[in-house]
Amino acid sequence: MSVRTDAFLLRERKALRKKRLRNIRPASFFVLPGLILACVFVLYPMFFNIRISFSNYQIVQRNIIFTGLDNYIALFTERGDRLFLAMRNNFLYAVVTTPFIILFGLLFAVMVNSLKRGGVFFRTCFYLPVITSWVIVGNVFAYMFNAGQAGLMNYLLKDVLGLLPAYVPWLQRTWTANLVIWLLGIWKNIGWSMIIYLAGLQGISNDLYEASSIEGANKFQQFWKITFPLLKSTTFYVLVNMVIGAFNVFIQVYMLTGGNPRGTTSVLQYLLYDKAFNLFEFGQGAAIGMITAILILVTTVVLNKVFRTEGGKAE
Amino acid sequence: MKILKRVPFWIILMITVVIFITPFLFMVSNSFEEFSYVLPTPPRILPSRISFEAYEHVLTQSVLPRAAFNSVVITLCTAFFTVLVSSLSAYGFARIDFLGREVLFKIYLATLMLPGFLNIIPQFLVLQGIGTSETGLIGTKPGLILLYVGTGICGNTFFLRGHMAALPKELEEAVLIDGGGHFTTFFKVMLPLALPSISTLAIFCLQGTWEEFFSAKVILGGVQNNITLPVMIQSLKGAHATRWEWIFAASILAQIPMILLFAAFQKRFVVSGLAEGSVKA
Amino acid sequence: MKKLFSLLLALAMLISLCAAAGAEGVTTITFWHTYGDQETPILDEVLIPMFEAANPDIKVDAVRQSGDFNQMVVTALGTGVVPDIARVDITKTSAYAKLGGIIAMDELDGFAALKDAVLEGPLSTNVWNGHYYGLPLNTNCKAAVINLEQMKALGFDGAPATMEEFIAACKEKAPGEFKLNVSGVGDWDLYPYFWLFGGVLTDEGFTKASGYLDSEASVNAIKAILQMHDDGVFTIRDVDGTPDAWDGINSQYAMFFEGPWYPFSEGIVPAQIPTYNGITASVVGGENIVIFEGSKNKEAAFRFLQFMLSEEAQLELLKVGVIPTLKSLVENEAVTADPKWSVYMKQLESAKSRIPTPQASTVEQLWSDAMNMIFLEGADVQETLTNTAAEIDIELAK
Repeated sequence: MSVRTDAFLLRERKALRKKRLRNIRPASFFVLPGLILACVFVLYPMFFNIRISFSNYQIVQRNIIFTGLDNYIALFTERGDRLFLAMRNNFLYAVVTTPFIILFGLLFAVMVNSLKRGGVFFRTCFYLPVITSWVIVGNVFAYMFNAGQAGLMNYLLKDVLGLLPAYVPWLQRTWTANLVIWLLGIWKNIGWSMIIYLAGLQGISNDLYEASSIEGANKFQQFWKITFPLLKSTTFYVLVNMVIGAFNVFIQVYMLTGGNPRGTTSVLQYLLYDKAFNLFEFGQGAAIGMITAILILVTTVVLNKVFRTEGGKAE
Repeated sequence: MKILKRVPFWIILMITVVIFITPFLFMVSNSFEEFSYVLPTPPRILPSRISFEAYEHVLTQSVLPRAAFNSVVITLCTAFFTVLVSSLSAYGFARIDFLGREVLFKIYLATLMLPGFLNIIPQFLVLQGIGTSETGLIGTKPGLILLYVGTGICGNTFFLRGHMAALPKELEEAVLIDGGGHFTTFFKVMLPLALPSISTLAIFCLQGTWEEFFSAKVILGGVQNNITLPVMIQSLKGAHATRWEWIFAASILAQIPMILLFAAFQKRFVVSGLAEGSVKA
Repeated sequence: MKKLFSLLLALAMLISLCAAAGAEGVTTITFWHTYGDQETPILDEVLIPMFEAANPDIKVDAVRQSGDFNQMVVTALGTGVVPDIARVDITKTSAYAKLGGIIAMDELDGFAALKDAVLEGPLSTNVWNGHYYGLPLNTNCKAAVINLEQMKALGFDGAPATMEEFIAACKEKAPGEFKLNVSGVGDWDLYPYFWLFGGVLTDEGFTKASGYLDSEASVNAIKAILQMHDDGVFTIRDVDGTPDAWDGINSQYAMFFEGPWYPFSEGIVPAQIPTYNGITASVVGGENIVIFEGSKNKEAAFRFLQFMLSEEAQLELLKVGVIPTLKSLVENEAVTADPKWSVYMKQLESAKSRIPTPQASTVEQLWSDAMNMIFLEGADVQETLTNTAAEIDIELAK
């Protein structure tokens, strides 16, 4: 490396910088409308929340009194360990629902993709839960998992199929209620993952399958050797989305259990809602928001490390 | 022979579908019933009668028609402005190499991590500050539309940027040589080429807006005339007891447009639009 | 392009704003409420037209809210975009007052007269820090809802007079069949039983729970409920997974406690809650009407408030099951002649209110946590109540 090339590189870099600086003008026409909206509706509220999380916020008077780490300390030392229960449930939700969503999404996508006719019908059926409002599916699930005989599940499992010895109070017990929350999450999201996989399948050329059939590979081998590896990046996309989604679970809990009994079915977003809107602890609510953000950040970084490096670059 | 081999496959598929849409079948059959606040035991899987009383009730005795109108207006406007603003900004990020681009984009990405939940109070304050009256845009459709477009902007920009960045560079160079600017490139080259992904975005946006409950409740909940369908459906829940058949009937009515929309556009826009870019990136 | 759109948007806003501010000379007040399917038509089609006819300078915009009403109010308070007037739950009133969101009415012209006209029990739920922050709009309490046929099978002609004989009859004639039902373990559900069996929550002034909630009487009350549960007489839906009372009362339950909104029918009638140790008990519910600090039309709002507390308005709502709070209507013929209203009015005499504190939500949570521990997890009664009493003390001192 001679001095001359160094100087050349430096000059090059300066020129580039100048060009990039000049480019701000034309870029601003495109970027600015979005940026203004993002600042107003996303960034400003974000900084507002960070500040509130370190304060006692009196909402009517709009007083913001700095209290340091008080909100965080209060959350971590609270009786009943509500924060930890909520975190546990978020993690469980991610661990339990994501594999099912990926597995069934892929399965349905492959099934639907192999259809010569009726594709529209099946796709729409599997996608139905995705396009149905949470308010609606929440109501339906609450009704289906009603305690006692009025609930469809109890009726089917005990009276019709005889699988249960007694009616189950699904939504009133910690683990059955969590199960219903997971079920709803899985059911609502499978269609989404199916669509993403369908899109991924469009990119796989038919030649590969034809070649392998000539070599005598059966359907299963084809799936494991061709389809699945080629959909790796799609799987990663679904995985990241579902895991981040797991930290934003709210409406299931809000409509099905309200975190009962004793916060054991609660999740972070529900706890946030409860703190802010029922108990008027806005500072603690904001602190929960911050804690969630950190958890999501850490989880995403870990996922990237673990899954991206595993089989080389997933792209 | 070949047909026979497909039979088990079809049986499995049909069973899966039936299990999958049970909640909907249950909702439909119960919307024909009359509960008078008491749930039937055992629950009715098949309707005991076919009656449209509940539908008639929600169509004539409730604000459902009004709410449906509001939902349509809000959803269409949101999708339109979302597509406009995010495709502009995605173009900026994808095709113009300006100073600070990477930092800004990272900030956009970072905001996607944050739960958007508690933001509702500061967002509300912002909307209140727009305009001259005391309440600003609170309780108005433009207010909610602005909020939807604003909160979605980071994610949507991210979505479209991937697609636009994947398009070959030569395209716009040709335009630049012909003396056109970014403006021409955007409208003449980029928009047509990115149309599949833009349509996908539009459809996802339509769906997301149509079903959104929480912000709609907070921003419009105080003005009966402006409420949207999800808010209206939830308000059918009584303080002490609920007429489930009304909720179910209203829910089904509210779902029909989205089902039609998806059935009509799924193959063309949703699947192929997603296949274009970002999913694979 | 962008400018064009922002211009269009601004124009759209301007138009909508002008439209909102358009009506001249008429004050529009916004009224938030959570009236149900039966009451709302009365409000919209009878009461408001009646009020507007008498007050041509005021227009009332009534907005029916749903289950998350509290969250709507909190958001409204946080942002200052509030309704003028609202009907809020009695247990939330002091919390809103503490937040500074609603006005003290003591000094308003005409308040004194209204204060004297309403029942004292419901009125007391409006007090915070020595001032009145609202007026009771309607009241209610739980009474017994009984299935006559079921009662007959247990050997009662109508409602049993005492809990003792009811429990004995259940154990003898329907062992393990759970003839008595409650929905959950929250305060509204379980307080009536707790009080009925002799429990005490706090001192008279609601300042301390230690020494009361964990007293021998309270421990025994909970133990008596547990015993009734273990004996197969009493079931808690959320604990046992039994059918909801509203469904089960038609077939399997003989009795549950409910407010006057239950749609009574031929064989299912209201009755006094049977006594235990000679006393009966119930819990007070209901709503207050409050005016918001942020309202620009407090005077018009107060006129609407006065109207809603008038005899004619209260009698209209009584038709669909809303119990009036006016002293003058207690002896009114519409009340005394009606078998349902007479039962509820009588039961109100023994109904107690929940602890009135801005921390009511937290106290409720503490209570249901304790009951969940006892009924679901089998925790020790004395120990759980002692701990909970100490926690409630802290909340009450805030």
